[in-house]
Amino acid sequence: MYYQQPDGVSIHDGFPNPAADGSLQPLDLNQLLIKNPIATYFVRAAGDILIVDRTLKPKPIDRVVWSHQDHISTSSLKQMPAEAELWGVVTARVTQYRWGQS
Amino acid sequence: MGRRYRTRYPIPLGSVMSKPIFALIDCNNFFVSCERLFRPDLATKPVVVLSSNDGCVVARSNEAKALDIPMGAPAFQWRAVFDKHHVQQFSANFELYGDVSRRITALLASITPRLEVYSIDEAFLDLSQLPITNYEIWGREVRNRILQWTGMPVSIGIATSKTLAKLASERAKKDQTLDGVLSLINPRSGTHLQQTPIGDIWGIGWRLAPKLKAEGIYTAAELAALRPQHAQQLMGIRGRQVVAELGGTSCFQLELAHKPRQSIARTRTFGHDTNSISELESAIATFVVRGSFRLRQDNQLAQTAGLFLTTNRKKPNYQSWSQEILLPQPTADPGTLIKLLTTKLGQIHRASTPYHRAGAWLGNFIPTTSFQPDLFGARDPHVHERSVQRLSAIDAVNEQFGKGTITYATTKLGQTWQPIRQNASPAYTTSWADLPIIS
Repeated sequence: MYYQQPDGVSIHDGFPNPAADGSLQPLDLNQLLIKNPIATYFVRAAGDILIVDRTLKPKPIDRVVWSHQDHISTSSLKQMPAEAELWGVVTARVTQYRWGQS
Repeated sequence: MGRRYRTRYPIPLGSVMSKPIFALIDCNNFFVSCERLFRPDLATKPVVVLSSNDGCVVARSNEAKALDIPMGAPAFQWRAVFDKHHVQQFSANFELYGDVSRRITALLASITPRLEVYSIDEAFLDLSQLPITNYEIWGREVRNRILQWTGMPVSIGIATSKTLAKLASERAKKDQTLDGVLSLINPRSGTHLQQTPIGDIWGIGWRLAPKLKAEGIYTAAELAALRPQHAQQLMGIRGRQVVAELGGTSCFQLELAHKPRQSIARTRTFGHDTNSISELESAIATFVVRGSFRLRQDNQLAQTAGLFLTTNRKKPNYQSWSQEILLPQPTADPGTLIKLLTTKLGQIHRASTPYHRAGAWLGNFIPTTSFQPDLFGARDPHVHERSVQRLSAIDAVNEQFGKGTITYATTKLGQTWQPIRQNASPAYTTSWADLPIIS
């Protein structure tokens, strides 16, 4: 969460705040990690969250999610079984070291 | 060539000249397809989705349709068939369905803003302003895009009226050779009309179909051939319009404006009889929490609220009670609403009565922006302001960590009451705790 200046606090100093005119946006991970929210799904693999974009054309080195027979799985494109159906391209992997508020 | 064909009076472009062209985008077995999104093991198995109390069938896969399981089939009557054919049953998972529907709507809205979301799984588009040369090819591209982006198979019908577009999408769904897309723009629509029974026509309900059959009208082709006057005699003005629409003349416009609801009602049948006041309070409070959430999403405030209770309709001495309250000030605050409704409940509740159904409603909505504290301060603006801030914080937390993370103590009072959702799938796309797990 981006922090806001508490109410009633005013700072008089030499430099004008460049964010004051609203032109500066806080960094947003969604913007960095998700290009097409309509076609992006999250799945969990080995505890991590994979961000999967279904619109991308996979390259050989890409990590992909595929479905084969009765399960969905992930590997590099090279290791995807020949009969498997491409489900999406993994664009990022989120490892969380701590959860929640504690 | 330009000069010779230029007219003296320029022909107005756009809506005046162009005939409307509608596309209906209809998701195939929508709820079932949502359930299959993360379950490739179900791809060829019979699957049904049951209503929120696991009462009856509300969606069927093609394999389930092939077993002659009808829409609306009561689950308990069909248990033997389900068991014999290993029919996978799901309790309706509206969080998942809502999220997939939202994605498809967003995709369609990026094609054209002239979009009418007709239901959770159907949308009309007006294509007349788009530069499309071949509607069939356009339909195929859109179908593939929806399938690739969201994983949802759809059928698309294209025609110069909504009724024909709907008919085309049904044909596209049923006739495998059409590959999911049918355009009736350059019509050889004859055979498709002949193959459509009147009961399948949009706007011809179960009440009209027998009446038309009695007249010897069995197919859309026969209906389309009816004289307008005759159609009106049989089915009223609406019927006359349906006949015109089948002929390709548009009578029903695209309805773009989102009309906010004017009331929200929630009812549930308990799994058993109950006379416990805490159980009833809990049920009412749960309704109010959910109902008022919808209200806040629509930026509205309720001016009235009510509740009702009934005994079991199937048992002797069926009775029902209902009470409406005029709220002291317009509100969408579940705390206020729960307090008022549970007080009312206390007044009508009798310890000796076996209650079977309970419900609550909110009504007479006004937009939040029109809320004016009155001059005498009877409507305390500060109370309202604080309540709004608190609620948006609660809604934000619930959105982030799952429904019901923060809720009102009353909703948890009766431990036994919950709608029956024995076979619900996870909220795969709307809850961090429910993400699909893959290896």
